[in-house]
Amino acid sequence: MNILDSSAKTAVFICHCGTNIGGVIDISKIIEKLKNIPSIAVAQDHRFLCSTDGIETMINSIKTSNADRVVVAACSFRTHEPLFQEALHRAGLNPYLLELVNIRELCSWVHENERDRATEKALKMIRAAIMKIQDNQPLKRIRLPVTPAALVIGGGIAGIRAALDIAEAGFTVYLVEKEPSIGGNMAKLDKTFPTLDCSICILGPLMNIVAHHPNIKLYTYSEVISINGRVGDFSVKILKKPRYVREDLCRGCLICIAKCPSKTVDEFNMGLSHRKAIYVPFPQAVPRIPVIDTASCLYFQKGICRACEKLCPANAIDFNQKEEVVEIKVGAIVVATGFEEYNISQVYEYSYGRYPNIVTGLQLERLVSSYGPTEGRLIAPGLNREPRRIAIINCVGSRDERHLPYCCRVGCMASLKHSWYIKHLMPEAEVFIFADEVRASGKGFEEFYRRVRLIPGVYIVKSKASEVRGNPDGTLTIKAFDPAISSEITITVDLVVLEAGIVASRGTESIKNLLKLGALNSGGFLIELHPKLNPVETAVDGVYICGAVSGPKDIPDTVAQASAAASKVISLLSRGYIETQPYSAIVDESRCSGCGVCSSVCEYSAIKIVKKKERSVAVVDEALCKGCGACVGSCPSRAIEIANLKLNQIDAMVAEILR
Amino acid sequence: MVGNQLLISLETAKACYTCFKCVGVCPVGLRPNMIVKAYVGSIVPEFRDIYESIIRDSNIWICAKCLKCVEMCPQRVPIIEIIEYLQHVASKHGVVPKAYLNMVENVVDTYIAFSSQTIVTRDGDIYMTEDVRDTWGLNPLPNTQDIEGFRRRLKEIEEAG
Amino acid sequence: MRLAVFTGCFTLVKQIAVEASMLKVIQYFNIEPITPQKTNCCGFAFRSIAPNTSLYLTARILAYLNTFESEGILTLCNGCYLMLKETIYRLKENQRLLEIIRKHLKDEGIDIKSIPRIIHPIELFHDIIGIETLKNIANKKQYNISIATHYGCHALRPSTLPSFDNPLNPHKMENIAEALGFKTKDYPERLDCCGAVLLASKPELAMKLAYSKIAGTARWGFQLLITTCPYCFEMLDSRQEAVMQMFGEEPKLPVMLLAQLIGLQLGLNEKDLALNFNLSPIDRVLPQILKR
Repeated sequence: MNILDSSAKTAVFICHCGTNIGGVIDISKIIEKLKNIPSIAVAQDHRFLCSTDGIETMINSIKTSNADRVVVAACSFRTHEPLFQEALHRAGLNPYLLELVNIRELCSWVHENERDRATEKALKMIRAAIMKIQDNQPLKRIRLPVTPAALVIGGGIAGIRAALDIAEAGFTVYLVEKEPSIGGNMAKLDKTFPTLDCSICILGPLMNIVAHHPNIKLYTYSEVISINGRVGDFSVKILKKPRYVREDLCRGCLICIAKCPSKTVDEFNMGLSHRKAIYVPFPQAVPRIPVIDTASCLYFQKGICRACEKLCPANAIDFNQKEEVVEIKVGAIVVATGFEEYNISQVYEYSYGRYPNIVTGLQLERLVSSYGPTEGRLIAPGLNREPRRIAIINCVGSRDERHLPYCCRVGCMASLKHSWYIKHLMPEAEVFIFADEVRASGKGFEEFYRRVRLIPGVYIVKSKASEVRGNPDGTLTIKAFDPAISSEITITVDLVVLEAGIVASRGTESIKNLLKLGALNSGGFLIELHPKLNPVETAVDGVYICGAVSGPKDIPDTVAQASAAASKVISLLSRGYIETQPYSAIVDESRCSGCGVCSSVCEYSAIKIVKKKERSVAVVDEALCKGCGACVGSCPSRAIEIANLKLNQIDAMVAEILR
Repeated sequence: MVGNQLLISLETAKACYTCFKCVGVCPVGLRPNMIVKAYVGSIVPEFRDIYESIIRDSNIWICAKCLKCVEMCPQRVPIIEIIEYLQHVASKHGVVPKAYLNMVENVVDTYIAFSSQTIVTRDGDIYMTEDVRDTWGLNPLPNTQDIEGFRRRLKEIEEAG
Repeated sequence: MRLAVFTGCFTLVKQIAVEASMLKVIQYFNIEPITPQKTNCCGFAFRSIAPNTSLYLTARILAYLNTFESEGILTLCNGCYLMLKETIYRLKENQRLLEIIRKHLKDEGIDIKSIPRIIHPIELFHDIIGIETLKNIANKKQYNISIATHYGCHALRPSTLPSFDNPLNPHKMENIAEALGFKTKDYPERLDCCGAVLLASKPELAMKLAYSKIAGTARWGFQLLITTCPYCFEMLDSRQEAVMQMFGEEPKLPVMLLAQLIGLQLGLNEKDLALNFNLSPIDRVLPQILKR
């Protein structure tokens, strides 16, 4: 194919992008050279092609020059492809007769100091695109239906909020939570900063609405085990773990728990107390149906006891209950699996786990909670009396290159809230907070900081604590340097509270793998599509993330993100259809031998081998195909190609570049 | 950890965010973060004063090299490299404990930093190094036959650096 | 197995028990020590004063010991251990200095060609000789003696260099003590500095650090403290009486070298292990160890 005697008429537009491109590449020189090519209908430049003026100029030029295809040399197609496709549509052309050449990220931005060579390279890139576009075909987007239902993974405040919003819009929501009850970390808190609202008092009502909402199907003590399909049409399998208690029969009297002889560590109370083998995690649990933990149940371990079964007035205990797999179909998925505290026993200088009376921030929440291990009395775990002097140490594991480099976002406010708790319960106590910085940027936060500073008996030392050492009498000594008095201080206390860093919850890893999402190395947080412009979308269409799973944040931000994700889901489900980008694989059945290699390399299971008139050929499901091209590379017969990226087009581009 | 300025980049010194953990953990009461800032002052004129004062102060030699500040630092500032560099500069200004100069002299004269001395037993008996080594069948102290060549090399190497 | 043994100046001249006990003990485990007479200071004292020279001094040791066939260099002093381990990395970063140093080494007929394994005594007993072997020696003996371990600052720090144990929470010395039948436990002063480096610049402060260490450790009820480094031994054992008296107290904590403790388990006698040079009150605990 020779660019000089093609009958197609190509319009070429080059954007200066201010000085981003124009400051490095000599665009007028390129326009001159392009004008020499006969089949170029028009070659123009513009300072800001994506502006309304730029787009209008482009549309006019296309119409007046009778161009039948367009090359745009500008910036990244990731942000601008839809805009220019829309412009072609308005100019009366099929949107897929467009080639975007990125002479910004791939040229001017990386060759800032080599203008001549950058100009040469840009010209080559544009010529190659002109060569390619000669063989572009008009393509049609396909409309596919969207199942009017959503899956929310994670039943903390983020998952609850998202599920309620979607359910209120009239769509079915499946809410899956791996613990026996929804509520997440927020159910463990006593109060929330800076308003000091009682946490379960504001969370509880939402949990109850979830329990009874006609549009919400709640699966607790369950996990998502497989996800297949595409946006609008996901097939999901949920594993319901057996509770060994019949949900339809249980009346919630809890006699089984009272009589159970076996005890184990209570995870909800973060290791500070014990629970029975049959248990409800906390009094306000939703659903309030007990669960038998087989690891500590005497029947499952040794074949004895069965007291709960004997005593249950409703005959609701069923030791033979099996796990169940439920299959559902949804159009969108929201991941809200939340956070957990970092393992701070690795931060050795603070001696967590080496001496009693050192607790984490969440453990303190349990200690002061009215439904915690001490029913709200602050008793130091190893002292059996109320602590008189308490130290709170911030940034344990956070902002630390040896552990988590990032800020936990909530620790500073939590430490202020914690000192308020302590002074509220024990007015005579003394509290020392060790923090080299105090980050109080939210609404009402700085005012709360001042309020706590003014409480008698609360002292703030503006440095990180250096070490926590135990003493033979059970007290703890903290060493630090107080810059305000330019002197070392040594403080002996009864209780140390460590504000631990936070990481994505451990369940996030398997969800990430099931959905092929990206995650940060540090903390395991899931990655959003764009940190500024798309905070709740992901690179996978139809999958949204919200809350602490995408990064440390407090409750207001979590709820805002949950509603944002819900609104994206509602928008998708109410539109009722999706349109696919038609960059999918096309099979030339005359060349296809049905060998199946393409099907085996397809990551999206989009290719099947099918019998057609005594021959086996590959058939592509355009809805699943992402146009990645793996099949093209693998086919031994060159029988499969990507629409508008055919092998002869690639050959033409290469030939042009090498000329 | 050798006092070679080229190896300590200014950026790693500026990673310090003044959390004071190093000061609290230091067993001798030094202020490693101030010493790090003094290093910045060797390059940035606004902080020059602290640099000039620290390299003339014998307190720079109080560092026990316990390395706890290095382990505690949440920003991995190369504290000990900086302290040893400033000790080096101080020694060039004549601020250096005599004991170190004695050890250097001993090495230059005998290959090792100490000379033969008295050793005491729990019962109060006193022996000399050579006797004890002999009694326990251990090697005698190194022979100083070729010390001239060694001395020459040491001088050349320090000057070459 | 053959190991080159590097004593370091202080062991050569003063803490001879470190060398004597170690050589006696490793031979029991069929390790052949190579102990050349020719040696020089590792250069620790030169680090700030003459940095290039300190690298040369360490490089000279590495090059010279390289001429003997061995599976590594067993370093008896923590300071020397740090110098030997670190110099290789420092020289890699400073090619120019490395070339100058190599020229001088080659003039003497030696050169640094390969990187030898630098072995710490704790590493030797725990990883090379092995806990199982030590358990067999102890033969199920159990002592009612609680031992405080003292690794010393330069055995494991800084953690930027590879180390044989966790710098902020090591456990290998405890494993050794427990394998031999003793009790151990963690204590807050475990990683504290003995103060030895300060003997050169501020001796009173050195004594104060040693006092904090000894008094702090003793209040947890330990009957014995073990260490491997001659400098730590100097502060905690040889100078214990002077240190405690400076603060109006009497010596209270028996101190032994790790090799001496292992040697006693092997049945070696006090003279072989140079126990007469321990100046701390080890007579309070020796009879109990020797009894069984």
